[in-house]
Amino acid sequence: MSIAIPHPAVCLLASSAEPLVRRFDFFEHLIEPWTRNVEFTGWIVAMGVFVAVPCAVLGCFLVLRGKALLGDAISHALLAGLAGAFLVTGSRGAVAMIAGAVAAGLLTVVLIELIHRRTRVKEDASIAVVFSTLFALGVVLITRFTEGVDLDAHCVLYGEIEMSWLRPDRVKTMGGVAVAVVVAAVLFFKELKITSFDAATATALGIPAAAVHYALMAAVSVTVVSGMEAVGAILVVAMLIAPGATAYLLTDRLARMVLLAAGLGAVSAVVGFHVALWLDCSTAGAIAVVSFGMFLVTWLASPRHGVLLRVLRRWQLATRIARENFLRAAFNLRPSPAPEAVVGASVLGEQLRMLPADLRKYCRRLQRDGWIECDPEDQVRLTDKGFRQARRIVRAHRLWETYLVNQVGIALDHAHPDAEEIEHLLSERLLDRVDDLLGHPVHDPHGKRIPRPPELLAAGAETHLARLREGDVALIRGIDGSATGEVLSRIAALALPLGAEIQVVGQSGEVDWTIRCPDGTQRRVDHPLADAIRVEIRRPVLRA
Amino acid sequence: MMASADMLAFGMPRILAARVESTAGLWEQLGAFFSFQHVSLVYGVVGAVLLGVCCGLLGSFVVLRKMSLLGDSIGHAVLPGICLAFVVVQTKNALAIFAGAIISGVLASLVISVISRYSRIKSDTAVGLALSGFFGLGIILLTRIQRMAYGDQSGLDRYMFGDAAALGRGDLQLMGLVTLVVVLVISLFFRYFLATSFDESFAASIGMPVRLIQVALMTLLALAIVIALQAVGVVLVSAMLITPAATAYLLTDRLGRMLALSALLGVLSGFVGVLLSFLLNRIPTGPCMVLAATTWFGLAYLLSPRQGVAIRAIRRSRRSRRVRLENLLKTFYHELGGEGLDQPVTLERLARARSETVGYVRRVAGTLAASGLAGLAGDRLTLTSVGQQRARQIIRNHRLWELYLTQEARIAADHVHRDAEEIEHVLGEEIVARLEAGLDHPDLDPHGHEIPRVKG
Amino acid sequence: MHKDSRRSNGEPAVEIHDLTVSYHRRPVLWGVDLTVGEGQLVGIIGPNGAGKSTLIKAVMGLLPLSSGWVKCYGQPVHKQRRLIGYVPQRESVDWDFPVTAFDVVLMGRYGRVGLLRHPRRDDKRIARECLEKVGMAPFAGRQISNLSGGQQQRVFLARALAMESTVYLMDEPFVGVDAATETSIITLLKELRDRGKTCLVVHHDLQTAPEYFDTMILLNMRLVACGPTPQVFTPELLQKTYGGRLTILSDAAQAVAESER
Repeated sequence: MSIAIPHPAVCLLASSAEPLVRRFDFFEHLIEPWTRNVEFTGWIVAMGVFVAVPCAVLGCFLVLRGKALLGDAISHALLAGLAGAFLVTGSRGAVAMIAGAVAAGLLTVVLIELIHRRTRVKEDASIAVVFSTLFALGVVLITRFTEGVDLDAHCVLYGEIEMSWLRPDRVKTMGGVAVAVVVAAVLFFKELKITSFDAATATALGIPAAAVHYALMAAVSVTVVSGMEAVGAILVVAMLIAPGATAYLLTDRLARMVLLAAGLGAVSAVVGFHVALWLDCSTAGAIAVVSFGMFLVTWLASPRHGVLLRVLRRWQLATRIARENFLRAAFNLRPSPAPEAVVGASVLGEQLRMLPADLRKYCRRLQRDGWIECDPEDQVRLTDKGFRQARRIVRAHRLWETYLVNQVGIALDHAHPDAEEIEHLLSERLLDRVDDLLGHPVHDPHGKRIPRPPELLAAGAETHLARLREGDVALIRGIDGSATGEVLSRIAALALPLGAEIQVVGQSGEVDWTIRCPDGTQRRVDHPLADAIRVEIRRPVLRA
Repeated sequence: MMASADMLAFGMPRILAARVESTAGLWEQLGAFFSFQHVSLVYGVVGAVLLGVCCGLLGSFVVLRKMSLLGDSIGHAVLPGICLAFVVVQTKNALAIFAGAIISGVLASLVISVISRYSRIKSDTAVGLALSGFFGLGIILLTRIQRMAYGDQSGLDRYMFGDAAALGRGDLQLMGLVTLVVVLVISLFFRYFLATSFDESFAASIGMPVRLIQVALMTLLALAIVIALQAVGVVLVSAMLITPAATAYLLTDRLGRMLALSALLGVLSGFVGVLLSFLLNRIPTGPCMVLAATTWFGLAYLLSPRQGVAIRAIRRSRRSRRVRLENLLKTFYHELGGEGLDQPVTLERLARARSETVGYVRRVAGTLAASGLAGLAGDRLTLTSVGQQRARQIIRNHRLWELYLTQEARIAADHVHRDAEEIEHVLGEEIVARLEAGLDHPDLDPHGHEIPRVKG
Repeated sequence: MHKDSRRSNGEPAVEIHDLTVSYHRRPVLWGVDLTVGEGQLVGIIGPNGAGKSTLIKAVMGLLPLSSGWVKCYGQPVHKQRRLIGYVPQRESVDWDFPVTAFDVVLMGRYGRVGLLRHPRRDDKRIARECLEKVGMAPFAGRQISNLSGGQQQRVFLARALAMESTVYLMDEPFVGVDAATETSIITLLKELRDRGKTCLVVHHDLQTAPEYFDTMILLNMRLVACGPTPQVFTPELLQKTYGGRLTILSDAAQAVAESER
């Protein structure tokens, strides 16, 4: 694995023609580096991890502050800082370099602010002007004044992480920087957190937001300058941004995000090393691509925000809506209210605008999943499961339609199409709230009966009196715990026979329930009371 | 190693070939440059000029639409396209490489917009991700190619780091073509670019194809970036795009002028960059162009007539000096009760009235004397006739303005004083005349004080 | 001007039928039905987030519709672009943009200037006249960031006038303007109405609303009421508009949004 990029002329002399992507050899590229060349591997991987972890930690805050590109700008501008430090001190010692880096990093930030705060030039253009200038200045200074010093182009563009095993002292320095950055991040976690979230509040609380900002930028400068030699000024941007962005997609907690980013950074360094061995290419490039790849995979497949999952969910929703529409059509088109009534497939096809062949295929699928039964004459019968589901969706549809017309004030002829979109997405809880708000209506605005949820059709179900309909027979079980004093006293005044069987004999205007008690007397119960009285259904009316 | 690597990396000017021996003086060097004898020199200059026009024009829209960093990221993102094109055609075919660059540049801008649209990642992070990710891929491919011995791959480095001096005839033709297209499209559809950049929803409301214009701009941008790469390289390409445009933005208030100025500054930067790189031994052209562009920017930043920071600071200090002088004149007037303004007043008395130190009043009085408004004898200040006139003027302005505020703007009399304190110094004679006429040449201000007449 | 207006007699200026609009699939306006006759000055009133701007943008065709349609004089909006002038919110643009007040007003003519043609002398004359009408003629050559908020709004208004439309849709033209500008804008709007133009104006100040508009649209995620001000600007209907969200409607919108996440 040779490292420095050979001069083109040297390349011309190379003879062996290779394919672009080499064959992956498990032992050669994955195992042997750790068995035969441990020292070589160890130093490189250590360097990679030492660069990646502090970068990832700091990158989280850059990403959250919307300053990701400031990181990019600083990493470019550092070149001028390095050259300047060398010119002033004449040495390439760590102290001079770090001082130069911090100076250049802060200069970048300050210059950018000077431009976009004082003039109409916006922040993005200011960043571009400043970093390109400092970079150009760095190049000029280096080419002009620093002859014979190994501050060179590779250090900017490729990095020489592969040389780490020859320079263990630099790896150790980087390790020191990594530890310092991580420790500082832990110590000042609270400050970083609040200033990233809301700088104004932080200032009001006495936390110097501006100082924290500059300190963060100085830390970025130090990290980047120490890592630049290894991975290059441009690729270091990937290590700054990608792990933080990836972690941001995976978690909603800052502490977890930082930890995760550090872990992802370390993993990308190790994986990148092996990829570079496999492809015989720049290790820094491989680490950058692996980080970016991790981001892309997470973006596509993350359990919370993943695009693939979203597509999958949308597809599932679409199939569910199609199925529910089918079941509803079968339910509505039944010639008789009996659950076992059958519908001709051709009638359904007409209603659903499906071609006969598609319809047959679709019927077979629904039959396989147990929603319907389909006989050879293409007669469709809802199974018990299908029937229950159909009732649910018809209930949702008619309730929502009633809501739109009665509460939202949408014209009756327009309520229909809207209801059709939403009904599939409303939860049972929301529907129950709608039902309650509307006063448990029996009919929708078209005069069609609103089915009750299937669980209320079984004997033994517990519910409120308000959910009973005319003809239901039920046992009075007690009073709801949440009833207020006023309701309680009014219920007491009704002298309801606790534990006795009653029958609902009337539901007038959908606000009053009239019940007949075992002794033959009748009582009127209004909506608030009906909501508070718990009953156990004995014999529900089985009409749709 | 160092020297060769840098030559490789940042475009060691082959213009050097045209250079007179380094012992020659500056004038000989300039003479050699402006004789334009050498083909590579001419090509370099022509290329830099074309580049300046093309980037200057597009850069204006990039700056105004706040997508500067998108340009930077496209610049980085073309690298994998260039390398892949090279692998596919296996030669340094300019057109193939051009096409590869454009495809991967456009792909990157697509990735950026898709990521920032379909995730909670903000656009700046998305730009950074695409920039470094694509660039990393490019580096992998580049290092692969260098190990694979494909033959003629030396040109790839040039695309990566740029070298205006190594431009060939073919490159120039391509640059000329792109510049022509850019100029044509922008001048033909100027109004479309103007309206959509200024107010997208309005443009859509009058039926302009907003999306199409955006796509067209992005495509032109990718084209411009790819040709600029050859001269200045990946890292510095955004400077050629942004810096001249940002400079022009500081200098003018009209879009048409901004475009022209930006193109001109681009040309100037390109030309000066080539010249500098020729004169200063060993300095590559790209950074020289960028530094030239930044020099114009720095000058505009400080000295632009409207936006210049230094100019505004000077104007501010002049205004506060004038306010100081006028305030002292006003105090003088009050101390003498508006009568017999030729009487002397002691500095101590003035200082007490203004609640300032005597030293401060002495300094201001000194300035007054120096500008011929007063005479200072020991501790006593006397106004010259010009000074008396100015004192009356300032008092009149103050009282007129107070009257205007109470009568026209219906503000309570006890609230107007502070307002008038600030305005009185900036009212021009013309406004004062209009105020006077509008208020029917009043004699007394709302507090019942006399409004002094100013002769002449 | 009448030669290119495709007005047909008796058709309402704006007709909105069963309009539902969603942002990222989350419905923000539900099933709006309304008709605005020619020559009316209409205020669109409602609390923050009620969908006032959304309604205007949807009518302009700047947002995709989930359901329903919008017609202008009996034709779909995209065929009637020349008849409709749009005044966006003032904050929607970057006022540092290097154009003068005159340039901005001239943009109002762009819809009428052909694809590759330049604005002609007539267009420039009209632009100048429109600047004059809003009292901004002395500022024609000023860069727009050197104008006060009220002056900027006047420039936007002049741009709409330059379109010579018959229907004007304005998004919050009274926000951040001084009292004098507010008066002159409303005078201008009334003048437009008297000349048979139709203006739909998003407005949030209940104090001035009844005095400004003869017709009102009360909006809160759905149409609460639409009609002549005396009939619509009543305590009950205002209570219905401002008295909190229909929580179930918001929750349903949330459910839709979540299903799409």
